[in-house]
Amino acid sequence: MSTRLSRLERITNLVLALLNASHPLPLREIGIVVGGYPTAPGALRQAFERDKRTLRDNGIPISVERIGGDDQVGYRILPEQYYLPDLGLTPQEAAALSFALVAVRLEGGVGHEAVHKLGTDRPRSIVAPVAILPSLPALGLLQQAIRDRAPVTFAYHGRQRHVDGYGLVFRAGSWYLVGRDAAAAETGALRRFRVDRIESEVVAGSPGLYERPEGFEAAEELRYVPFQPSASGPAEPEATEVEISVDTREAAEAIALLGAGALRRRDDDGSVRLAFSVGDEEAFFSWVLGLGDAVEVLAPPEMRRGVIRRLAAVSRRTEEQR
Amino acid sequence: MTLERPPAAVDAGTRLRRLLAVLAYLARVGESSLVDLAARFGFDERSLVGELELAACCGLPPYTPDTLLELIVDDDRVIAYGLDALRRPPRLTPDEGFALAASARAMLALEGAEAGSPLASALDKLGFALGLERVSVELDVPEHLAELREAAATGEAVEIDYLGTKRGDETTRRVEPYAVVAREGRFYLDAFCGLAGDWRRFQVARIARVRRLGEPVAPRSLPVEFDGTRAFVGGAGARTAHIAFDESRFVLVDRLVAAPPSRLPDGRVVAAIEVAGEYFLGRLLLRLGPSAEVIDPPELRDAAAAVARRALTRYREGP
Repeated sequence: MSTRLSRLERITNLVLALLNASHPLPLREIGIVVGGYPTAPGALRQAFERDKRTLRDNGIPISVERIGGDDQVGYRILPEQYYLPDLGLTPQEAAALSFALVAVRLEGGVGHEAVHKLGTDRPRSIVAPVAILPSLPALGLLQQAIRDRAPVTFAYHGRQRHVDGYGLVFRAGSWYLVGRDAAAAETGALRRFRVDRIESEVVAGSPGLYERPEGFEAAEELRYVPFQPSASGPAEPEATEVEISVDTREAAEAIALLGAGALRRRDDDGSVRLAFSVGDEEAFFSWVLGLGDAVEVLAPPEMRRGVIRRLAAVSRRTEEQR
Repeated sequence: MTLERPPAAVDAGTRLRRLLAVLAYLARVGESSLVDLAARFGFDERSLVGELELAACCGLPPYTPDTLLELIVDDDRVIAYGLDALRRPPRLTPDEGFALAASARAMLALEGAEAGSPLASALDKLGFALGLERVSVELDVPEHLAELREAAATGEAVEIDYLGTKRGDETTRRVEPYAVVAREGRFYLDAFCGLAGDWRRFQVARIARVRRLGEPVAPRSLPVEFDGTRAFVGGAGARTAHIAFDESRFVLVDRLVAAPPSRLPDGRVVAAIEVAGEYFLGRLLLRLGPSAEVIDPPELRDAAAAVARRALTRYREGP
């Protein structure tokens, strides 16, 4: 066969040949029967490895099996690993999933083709999107690793992490991985990692290496505010109870951040009073100052004075520069 | 939306995935019009025909006519025989599994997890096989979301009270809603605004009141910068500011920074940030701490102090 066949043609033929194979095919035979491969053994091996990777990246695993004779290994695609199992969905359920895939999209249309595999007869592609979620290359792999209980390794904040993943959560515009970091100082401590801050490729280990705690809810574990004393972290020296008033413009966001439990009062003008404890005072001041004139710290007096002092310093500094 | 349009150069793996999906569908239905098939799989007709013609040359060794995939493309139809091996679709790729989990979870967050709804029961069935329950999506549903979505869908003009970001910025506007979409975790209304005489993106959570006007909107097309994933679309006051601040605060702004930051001799980092207006910039600088300042442009150097002075007024008034 000519080697000028397009690569798409070659890998399509490869899928058909390996899926149809009654026994594992040695590479030598693949080079002969599948159109489009180079004839020189080195080049053939290189081209096949590249195709194998492409197929795997696209959800088609090639099974590598030991065979007798000079060839040692053979390849095929096992039907049970290739075909989507019968999901047992009713037409209404398949339609609801297709609708969700069309209405809520991942950035760049990533994974959107799942809609074609659900077997609905009329995907409603004309539906306007309701939400576009950020997509990151690691998310698919992380989800698969969590499902298979395969530990993952990656670099984060300059350190190598070994994480037993428990769940992925989308909150406040970011994707988070929640799990246990085996390399953390206190082993077994729960950690959250913002997926867009992972600094390396994510590598998954063997499946089934850890258990996920019964009834674990990653979203619940993620409830925390940067400046609140954390329950699982090291003991805070002392926490300060503060009370603030937030304008209607920022009220919803502040409640989303602090939790409904912090809400003390809702006033007629739409502003809210919130009370909560603060462990990290600098982080709290940063948050409050960033809300500009939409927020006022009411109590305790020393925290109120702290905000005034910082605001006054900024307004003065600019005047001095002139 | 441009989301489903494939990038200019689609790699062979993506093409294979799409081709296998088309073939699985054809194996099930036997025959389809090219128009329908192209629309269903997001192809333009010409590239669809190209892919089908290529597939018609594929098959099993020895590639004699009887072992090739039987696809007959005539003017406007395609007929398929004997694609039995491809009748069932391949498994979901990790990306597809993740997309399915994220989309379904997001829809549940939006619609409320009604027990017994087709989506809830589908998730129950797929939960274990696909690991869907390990993904959760949180979207805050603002008060007027449903009303605005309906107005956008039916093309009805509405009047809104918009809080803006600054105190005293409250306005009432007649707007023509075009789309309501969550981007970067928040819902935005894209509308033609009568007050501005131009397209505007409004944060739905800042819309205090909606009044339906019962008037149809004028047909217009959304400007291209409103498409895509990013929430920020700029606007009249938008410009780029270079700001210096302590490196330890970088995590507070990393999503706003496109290019890697540079460094000053005093150790601070300098980042270029697109800002919609001076008030937004002032708040951002306050958040970045005492060492944060605008390097450029000079006319924005007072942004933080201006916000600080406004905020101080509140404290003078007393609690």
